[in-house]
Amino acid sequence: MTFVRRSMLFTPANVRRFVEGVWKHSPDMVVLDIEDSVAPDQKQSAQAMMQDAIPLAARGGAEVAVRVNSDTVAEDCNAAIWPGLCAVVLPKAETQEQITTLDALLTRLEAERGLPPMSVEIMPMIESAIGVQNAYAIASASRRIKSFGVLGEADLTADLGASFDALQSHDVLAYPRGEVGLAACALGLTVNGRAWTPGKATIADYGDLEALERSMRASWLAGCRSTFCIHPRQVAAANEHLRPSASDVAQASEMVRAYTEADRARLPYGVLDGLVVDAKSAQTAQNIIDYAAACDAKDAAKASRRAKLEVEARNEPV
Amino acid sequence: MAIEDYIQPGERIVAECAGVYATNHRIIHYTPRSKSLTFREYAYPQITALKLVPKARFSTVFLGFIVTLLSLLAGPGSPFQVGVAALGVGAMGMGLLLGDRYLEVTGDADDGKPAQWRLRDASDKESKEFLAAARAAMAGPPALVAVTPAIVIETSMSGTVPRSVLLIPADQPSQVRSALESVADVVCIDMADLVHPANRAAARLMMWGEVTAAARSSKGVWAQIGVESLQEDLEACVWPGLGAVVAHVDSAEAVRGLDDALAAWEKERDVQSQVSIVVALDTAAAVWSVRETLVASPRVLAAAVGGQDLLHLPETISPRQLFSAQEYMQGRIAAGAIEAGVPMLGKIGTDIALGHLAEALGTIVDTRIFRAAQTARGDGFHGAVTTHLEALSACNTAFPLSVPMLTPLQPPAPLAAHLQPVVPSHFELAQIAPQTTPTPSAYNPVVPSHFDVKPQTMPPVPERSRPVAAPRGLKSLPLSPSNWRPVVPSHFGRVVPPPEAG
Repeated sequence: MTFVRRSMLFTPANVRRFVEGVWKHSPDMVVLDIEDSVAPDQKQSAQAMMQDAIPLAARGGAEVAVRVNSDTVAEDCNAAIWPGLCAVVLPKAETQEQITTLDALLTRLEAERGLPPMSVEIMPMIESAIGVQNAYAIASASRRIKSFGVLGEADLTADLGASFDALQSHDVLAYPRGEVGLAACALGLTVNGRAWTPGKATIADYGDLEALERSMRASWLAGCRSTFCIHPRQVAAANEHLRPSASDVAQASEMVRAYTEADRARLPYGVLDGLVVDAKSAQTAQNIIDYAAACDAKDAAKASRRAKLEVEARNEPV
Repeated sequence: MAIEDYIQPGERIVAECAGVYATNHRIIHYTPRSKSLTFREYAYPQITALKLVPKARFSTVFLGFIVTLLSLLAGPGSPFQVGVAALGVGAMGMGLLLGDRYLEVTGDADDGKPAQWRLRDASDKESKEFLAAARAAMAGPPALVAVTPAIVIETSMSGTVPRSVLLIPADQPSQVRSALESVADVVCIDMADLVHPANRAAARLMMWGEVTAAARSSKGVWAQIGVESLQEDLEACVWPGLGAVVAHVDSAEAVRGLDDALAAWEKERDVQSQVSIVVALDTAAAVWSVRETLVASPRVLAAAVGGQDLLHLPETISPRQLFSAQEYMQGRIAAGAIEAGVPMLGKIGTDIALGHLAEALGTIVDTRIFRAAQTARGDGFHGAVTTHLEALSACNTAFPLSVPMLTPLQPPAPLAAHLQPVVPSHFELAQIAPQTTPTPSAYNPVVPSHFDVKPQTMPPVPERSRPVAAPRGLKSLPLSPSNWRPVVPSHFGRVVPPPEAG
């Protein structure tokens, strides 16, 4: 299945006007947050709002997920698992047991609340050294995990004793990034997260638009398909650059053509600009063409929903 | 190479006519010339129809027509003109009546489109006799002849790591011939990636001759096989003289399976010297389990590292680029290979099409290849695989000659008690959860990696480190180490202003 989740925007679940207006930023996925962006004394009200918040957040054509607290998983899931929810983001994932326990809980809640079985995914976030160490075990613990690779950069650098600011000059998370990404690839999962680029380009940075776009493009080239966003500027950059560019699609089409012609002539590979285009490359190129079409379809669907919501907003009595 | 080089044990030629050979297994069109070679073949099960097709010699007819026309235009009425015109008409008649015979072969593999092979200068009688013999061979049961290797060949590269490996397609005998005259340490005959799927069955039939011819030379000879056609490819290539098979395997189980299959074919064919395995690491799964894969069999001679071409070619949207943490990948492969005691071979120019080196690399082809090989040597590679004759000399110069096999690492000495880490290392965790599927004792990994370790529940946390508040949430969740880590403010609280959504 090709899902398009370039931008996954955190939105505090306890602030209704944020949830109501999140469609204006056009994220592919809204992550209703009852973890870090909600103050401890607001968590209960955030939990209470979840059932109403899900359809509100989905109005603009986005999928809706929830980020739960790793130490109150059962409580948060009990509040959040309602029809319309597509995923649970589990921060500080460290062991296989955490995933299997959450899987069992989701299975029970799906049955109780009329959700299709296995419809709620688990998206673990790796934010500690032990999580990196257990990356493969975590990613393979449940069939609900369909994408993997997100690092909590701030928490992870702290856990490793590194400076978060050092990420501006060099990738202190090169090993975790490789380990987690490789585990995802080895298991055939979609890779989430961001590639490292110099400058202010972490998830905490959104002021430098050029650095942001460079980071998104590098992430696309590194194989990443989704990234978390904490600001609408990141959403726009992800939607535009975390996908095949027009030149990527043109090059992919040329590759498919070169291979198809070679295949007709019973040659093992085609040639494009002197380089080999074999069956694997051609398949990858075709996947890129298909993914670009899926992104276009997603954008069109969101634009249509957005136009309706804008009309409704204009007609709304003041 | 003569036709005999392509004839397999148990196969014999039953008829020959103008460069077309019928054996008891197949029909071969074989025409060696000084600068080219035609080798086409059909195994009998592939053939649906075999017949002779007469065709006029259109060149003779055309010549007669021109002569007749010119004579009529030149001087009508003279005896000379009549004579020349008659000659032209005669030539046209000869062209039409005494044309060439073609052998038309219709096969399953060609979607019903027949191949026509000209039986040049063969008489009608010879052609018919050949057709009859070929049809009889087709109809008869395949001769079951016990395979007896004629020779036992020890290659000059046995047990050593080559500096240069030239990869060539199995269905191109002319390239095999060129490779044997090259300076490559090893010629690797590819039955998989470089052969179009429609030609792979034919390529397998050529392997015996090619392996034998290569092994008679001073080269080592390897064969690249496809994992999806493992048994067929092994049946085709395991003959005396084969040094190694190159296979895209990505797990220890796959290597052990290949080991068993090789052993069976060695026994079947009475191959005296053990065929090695070169593991081609091309997938994420292969890189993930690199060490376990490389220690899975004593036959593993080297790891051929796929991923990025050592020439660092310009960016394309190739599969290799979809996971771009190349430095991490190379580090992981190097660590795994060193732990396993297996040398690494890189790839130079395998992503560049034959004859396109200059187009891809510009005018300084030799310099770039040599620099790439030198850098690769510095990075720990012991040799390189290439598809280009032009890259061989650079590889032979840059890499050290005949590197001996490395020795697997020995286990580290145990740490003194006061140096023991608080969090058990993966080596200690491995002792807690020993391997459930041990490899043969001689090749058991000396140092278990963390991949052998099942995810562990962390040991109980010291009382002094426990959080003040009892953890809430799922009762069955183990006490997470995150609970006793020093509290570090998250990036949301520390760095990032509140989201401006909405």
